[in-house]
Amino acid sequence: MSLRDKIAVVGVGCSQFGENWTMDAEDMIVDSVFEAYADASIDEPERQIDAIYCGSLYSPTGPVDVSEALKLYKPLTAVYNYCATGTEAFRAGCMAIAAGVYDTVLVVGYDKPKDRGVSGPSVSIRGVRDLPATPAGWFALCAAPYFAKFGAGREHLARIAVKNHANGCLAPKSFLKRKITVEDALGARMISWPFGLYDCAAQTDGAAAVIITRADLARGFRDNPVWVKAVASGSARNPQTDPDNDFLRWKATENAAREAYKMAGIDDPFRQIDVAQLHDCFTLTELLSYEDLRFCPKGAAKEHIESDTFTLSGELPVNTDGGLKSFGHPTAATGVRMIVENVLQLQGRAGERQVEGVTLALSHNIGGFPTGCAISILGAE
Amino acid sequence: MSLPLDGGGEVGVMSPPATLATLMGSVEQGEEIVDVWRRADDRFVHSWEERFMTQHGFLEPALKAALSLKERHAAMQADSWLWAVSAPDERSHRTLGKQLGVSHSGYWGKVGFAGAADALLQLAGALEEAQSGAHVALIASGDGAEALLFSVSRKAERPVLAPQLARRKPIDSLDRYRRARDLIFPEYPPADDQGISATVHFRERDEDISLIGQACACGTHQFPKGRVCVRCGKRDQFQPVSYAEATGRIVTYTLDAFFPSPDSPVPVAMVAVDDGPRIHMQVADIDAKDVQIGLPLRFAFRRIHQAGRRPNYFWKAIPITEDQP
Repeated sequence: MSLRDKIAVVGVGCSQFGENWTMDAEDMIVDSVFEAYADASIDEPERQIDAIYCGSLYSPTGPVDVSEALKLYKPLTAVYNYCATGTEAFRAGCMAIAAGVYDTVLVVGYDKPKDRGVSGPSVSIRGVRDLPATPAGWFALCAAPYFAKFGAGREHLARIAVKNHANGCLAPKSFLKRKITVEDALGARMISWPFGLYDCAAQTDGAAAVIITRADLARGFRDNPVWVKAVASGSARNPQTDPDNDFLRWKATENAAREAYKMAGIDDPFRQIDVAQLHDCFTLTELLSYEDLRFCPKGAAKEHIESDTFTLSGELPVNTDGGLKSFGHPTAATGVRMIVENVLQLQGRAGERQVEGVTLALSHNIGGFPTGCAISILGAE
Repeated sequence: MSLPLDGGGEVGVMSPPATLATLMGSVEQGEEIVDVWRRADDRFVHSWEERFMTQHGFLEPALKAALSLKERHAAMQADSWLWAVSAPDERSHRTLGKQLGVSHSGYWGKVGFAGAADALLQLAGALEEAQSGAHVALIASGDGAEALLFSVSRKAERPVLAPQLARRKPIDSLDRYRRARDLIFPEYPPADDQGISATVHFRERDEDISLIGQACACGTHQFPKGRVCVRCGKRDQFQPVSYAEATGRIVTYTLDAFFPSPDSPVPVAMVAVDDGPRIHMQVADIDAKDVQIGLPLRFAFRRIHQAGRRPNYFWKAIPITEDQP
């Protein structure tokens, strides 16, 4: 069943993202959700919200974080799909409404990794034969074959970091508000070739919330609701054991895009989509996504990067708020934060980073090894 | 090339090799001396002052034992013996050589001091060089010294130490040395603290120890083993296959500097086993700059990490060299 035009987003909220030493998950959940309540003109959540869909990768206590923070005791469901968790929580909420089970749902993504005392992701050893596993190491595996085949290089990755740092300076709730140069990016210490420090998203704390409702109820909350055109999920073989992977793409994104475009009725994403929030956990992930989402043909990302297609003033602005690069990546908050940005862009409320005439906006998460992808497409009409 | 198995996990059968060398005699020169010791729970050995230790803990008993061995076996052309000497440092090697009237040769001073393994390492090096009919005298010290005489029956068919030494990478900074010896105190808790489940280890012993994966009836290989074929989706139609003796090549790689390692960055690659599966594994014995797509590799059983505060072993991919052991 297609979800197209069955659900509307009527309220959005986002906490400050960053090294939130003086805030806990409760503070960030309350900040983001009460902002979303206000945005949807909800003053009686107990009466107006029917259910909560949430996600967190780092929570030691689970979904009770949300109900206890808000003192809102509604059917409470936690969703987990690695870095796609935020968008997956949104998808679960949309499906519940489309199924007719609930009218209005609160979606919350949050994570608080900075209470662990380390600056990066965990390095986990799960078994005797495991590599100590690092996300940078997994996501870097496309670099050597891609660079060899299409002639792109670290300088193209650097330009993505430069773009996202610049956009992040215009987003009040971003973590990093500092412009960088290509030279800064190329000269930074190496994390996992070809990724230097600036090719990697930071780990931060953050929470984001959206309120969704049945399409026919939307105008009861606000005059300019945003319509869900598609929410889709895709998975693919683990690239680390896939016997056929060419390491020029992430198949999970291709699979999710196929379904999302079909649901939204999109046949020329580059022309039809006005802004996109792509999962730039690493710069190369954003580069591959341009192609895996069919914004341009496989191998053509390099030319588009060189001609600034994806900058804020380009033909298809990507990561208008600075992306994971500027907000950091509180894992389950990220997908919801992207939806918040797309809603602001669609409603003309994105301030200095507003793109003119946005009517269709895409957001994209990819996670695992990477093995799972979730995409949302929202429209103003 | 991979070796199909009959399902039992037996990898191959070795016939007993012909004798390489025979022990002809030995001398022990005991000495009551507290030169090197380790207390309960100590991470490192302690030693008394180095000059005292070298003189009375090594040089004197080693020379006495060596001379006594020569005297006892003078009939065996003692002047032409090869000497394999385990000494605490290169200078003491040289000094003992002078006192014995033997020129500096073999692995003296070339492999550092390998502790308890040092004497056997020196012996292996000497046997590698010795021709059939030669004699090798081995000197080891510790609470005195021992001297052992071996008669070599045949030349070793392939060198082991020399190719390893040819590939060695000097440690050129204190920082690298401290990393290599695990003497740094990083932000992250040491990987050692992460427990490894003994039951998981037990279930996965074929994969971990023998690099055994599986081939589906449809021809697709998988590592690690699973219940369902990644290509045809059928269940349980597998034969176990060991890839330990196979070769492969790099499909893609990264050089991971975030990865906790004594020698960073760590090359990590997707390795396509020839006629086998792809395995995500570390590449060892290689300079980071030499890692490239298509590089031919074979597999070596190596210490991989110390999770659970114990050495854990798995396979790494290493470059194929002409003089491989």
